[in-house]
Amino acid sequence: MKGKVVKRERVAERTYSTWIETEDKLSAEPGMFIMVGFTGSDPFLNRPFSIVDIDCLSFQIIFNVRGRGTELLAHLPIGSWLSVTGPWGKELPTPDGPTILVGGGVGIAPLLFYRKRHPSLPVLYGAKSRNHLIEIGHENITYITEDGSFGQKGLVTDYLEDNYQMVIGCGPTAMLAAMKKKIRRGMVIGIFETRMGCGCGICFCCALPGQGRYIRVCKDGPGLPLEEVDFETMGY
Amino acid sequence: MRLWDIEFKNPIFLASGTFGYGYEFPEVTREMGAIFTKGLTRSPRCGNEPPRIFEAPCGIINRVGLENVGVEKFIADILPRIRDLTRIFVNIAGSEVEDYVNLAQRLNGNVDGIEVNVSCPNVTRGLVFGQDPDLLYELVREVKAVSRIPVVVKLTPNFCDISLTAKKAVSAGADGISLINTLNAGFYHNKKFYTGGLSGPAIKPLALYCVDRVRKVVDVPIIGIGGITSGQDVIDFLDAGADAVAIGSINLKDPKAGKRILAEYNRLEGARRD
Repeated sequence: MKGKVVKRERVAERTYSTWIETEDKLSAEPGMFIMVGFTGSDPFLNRPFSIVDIDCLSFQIIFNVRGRGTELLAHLPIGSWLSVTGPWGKELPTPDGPTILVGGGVGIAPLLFYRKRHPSLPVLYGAKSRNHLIEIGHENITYITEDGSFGQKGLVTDYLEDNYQMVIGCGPTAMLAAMKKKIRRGMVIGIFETRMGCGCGICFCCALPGQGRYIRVCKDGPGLPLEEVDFETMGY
Repeated sequence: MRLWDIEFKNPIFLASGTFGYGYEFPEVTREMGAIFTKGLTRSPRCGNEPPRIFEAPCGIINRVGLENVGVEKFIADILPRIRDLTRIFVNIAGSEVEDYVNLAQRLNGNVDGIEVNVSCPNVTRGLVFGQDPDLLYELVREVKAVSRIPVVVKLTPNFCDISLTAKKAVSAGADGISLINTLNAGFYHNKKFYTGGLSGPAIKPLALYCVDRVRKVVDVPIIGIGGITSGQDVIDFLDAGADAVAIGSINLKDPKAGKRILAEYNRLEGARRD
């Protein structure tokens, strides 16, 4: 389907929030993602983005400018048309006992959607520095920066305690690996990003090393119990 | 339309490796002329380690490495789910002639046809068949000897002259030729070099050239593949000498692209006839 950029703002260093209005009705649950790209052939593929918020005919994404596609996306004029497919992927499980959300950098995006459904959940949210943090409110949120320029100093996982029944995290793979090591008792779910082709299970490109098999992130995830992921193969 | 005495709903097919096994989007599969299912081997394969896909100008480079469920699981679990949707051609791959022969035997009578993949750049031996006319001849002859269904040979553009391999395949008994598979390509990811196959609109001019060239030397049906994203692209391939086309990379951008391209093609064809 086609989507139109209706609102965009810079929310942190090289980080943008964009609202896209679609021709067709949409519905999604927290944890699902959406594929967004350009209407022509260059760049060719749509890219996966976590859904931050959604209503019937529009959705919000937050992204870092990383390559040519996101650079173009960050500077598209309001009213520009985009190619959109989805939403795809599996819904995250609902909180089960004491639950905490852990976001690293732009990995906070899918957790914001989850927290709209479960507003009381505590959040550990970290970024490199104050400039890289997105303003997401204050209630029950612990901000952490690597350089200590805002909130606590260090990494989010430094502040994660092993007393939750469920931990849901999204951020760099190193952060997810650290989460897995730290939480011994509860269920730990990581939301993964991989190089993706279709987003919907037909190209087999988004393989993530799992226990004895490759996980297809778009179909099996993107939220995955970390015990199913083979971090060792990935060098963690 | 008819090819090999088989009736097809239309001349727009789904290219192997770009639409899974076809059951994922049955509402699309059933509209299309045929599906060429994901490359199948005798035993299951887990495929290459990531990354498996990379963006290129107007295209993509993939290195999936033939991840598939293996022929037995395909026949038992997957085929029943797609059997009634459309015509099924199974893309088969292997590293020895015996692998292809075994696959052809297992698929006989179960599907509408097979597509012999001699051009996948992501496995050790598969490409060799497509780049050595004598080996190709031997392979196609052996597969044909056991097949009771049409045998289409999918050719690689990674050879000095694709008309030579096309002629060789047909002289060995190939019932049809599909072309082109992906082009050899390389990319850097996190400073590490990877190789894969380039596809998408970037390769359409080369694919059209190959179809034109092969049409001039063989008289079996040709399935044109390479960077098709619109109804006009379909017409370009048919005009160049293809009897049907298969759409590939565009399925990754939009799994419903087949329906759009079919509608565009029908509109353009209707206008041409009027």
